[in-house]
Amino acid sequence: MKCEKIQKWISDLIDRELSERKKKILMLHLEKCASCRLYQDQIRTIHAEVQNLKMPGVSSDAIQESLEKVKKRLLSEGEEKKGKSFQYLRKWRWAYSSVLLVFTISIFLLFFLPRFKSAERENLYVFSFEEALGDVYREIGDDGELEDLFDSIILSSIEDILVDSQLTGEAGFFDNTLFWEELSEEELKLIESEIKKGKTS
Amino acid sequence: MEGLPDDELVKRAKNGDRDAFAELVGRCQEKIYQTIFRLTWNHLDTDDLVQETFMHAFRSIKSFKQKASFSTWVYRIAVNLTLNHFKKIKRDREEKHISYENCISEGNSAGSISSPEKNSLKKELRKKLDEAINSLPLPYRSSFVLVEIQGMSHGQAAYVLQCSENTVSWRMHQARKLLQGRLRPYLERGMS
Repeated sequence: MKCEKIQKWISDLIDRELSERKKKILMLHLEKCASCRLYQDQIRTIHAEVQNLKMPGVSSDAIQESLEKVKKRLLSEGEEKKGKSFQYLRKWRWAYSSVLLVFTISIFLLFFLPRFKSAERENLYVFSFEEALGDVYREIGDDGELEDLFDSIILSSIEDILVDSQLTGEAGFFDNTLFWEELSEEELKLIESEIKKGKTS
Repeated sequence: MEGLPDDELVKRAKNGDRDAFAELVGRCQEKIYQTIFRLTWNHLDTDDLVQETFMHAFRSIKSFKQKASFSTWVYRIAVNLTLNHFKKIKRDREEKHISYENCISEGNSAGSISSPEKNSLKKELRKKLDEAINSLPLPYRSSFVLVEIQGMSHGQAAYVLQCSENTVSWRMHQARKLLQGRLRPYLERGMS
C-alpha cells in the first residue's frame, strides 16, 4: 500500500468519511510505517489547533446591524418591485387607452348603430294618405280645371268602390279560409269535376 | 416566528413573508459571516457579501427545492458569491489581511500544555496556522473552511461547492498536506 493513499485515508478518517474496511487496512499500515504515523500525528495536531482557532469576531450588535441592513434591503426591494410594476403600467398607458377606446367604439357600432338605422328605415316607410293627397293638391296648384278633373276621378273611384262593395257585400263561401280544408276528398273531386264541366261548356 | 421550524419558515418565505425570511437569516447569519470571512479576511467585503448572499437567497427562494437544509443552500450561495468576488477583484491577498492577532484564540486549548514556553509555541503555531490556511489555493481553502471549520460532511461541502464528494475528499487531503508542509518546523518543535 502506497503511503500517499494512506495519507489521504488519514484525512478521510479525521473527517469521519472512512469506511470500516479501509480503517482496518489503515491501522495495519500505521503499525508498520513510522512516517505515516508521524504524518497522522501532525495532521491531528493541525486539526486540534484549527478547532481552537477563534472564529472571526462577530459581535451580536454587528449581526443585528447586518440583519437590519438585510431587512431594509428586503423592504426596499419589495417597493422597487411595486414601483416597477406601476412604471410598466405608466409606460404602456397610451397603448392601454387606445385599446380601451377601440373596444368602446366597437361595442357602440355593434349594438347601437343598427338600432338607429332600423329607426330611420321605419321613418322612410311610413305612408300618410293625407300627406300624399296634400302633395297632389300642391302640384295641381291654381289650375281649377285640373282640380275638377282630379276630384271627379277621385269621386268616381269612390263611387265604384261603393258599388263593388254593395255587389259583393255578402262574403262568398270562398272567402272562408277554412272552407276548403273542411271538405272531404269526395266533395273536392266533385267540385273539380264541376269546374272542368264549366270550362268545357 | 422563533418557535417555527426552518421548513415552515421557508414555506412562508416562498409566499413572500419577509419576516419569516428575516428569521431564517437570523438563524444562520453568524455561520455564513464566519465562513465568508474565513475566505476573504476582510470585514467590509464580508459584510457586503453576507448581504448579497441573503438578498440573492430571498430573490431565488422559490427555486429552492428543499433537498438540502436552508442553511446549506445559503452556504452554497455564499461560497459561490465569494468565489465570484475573488474572480472579479483579484486583489493581492496580503492587502486583505487583517490583524491575525484578533483572530487567534486566547482561550485555553490542550490542558496538558502548561509551561510558558509551550504556550508561546502554541500561540505561534496558531498564528502560522491562520496564515497557512489563508494562503491555501482557493478551492482547497473553501473545502477546508467548510469541512474543518464549519464541520460539514464531505457530502454537504460537495453540495455547497457544486462538486463531487471525491473532489472534496481529495481537496481536503491536499489542503492538509500543504498545511503540514508549511507548519512542519513548528509541529516538530511542538512535538519534541
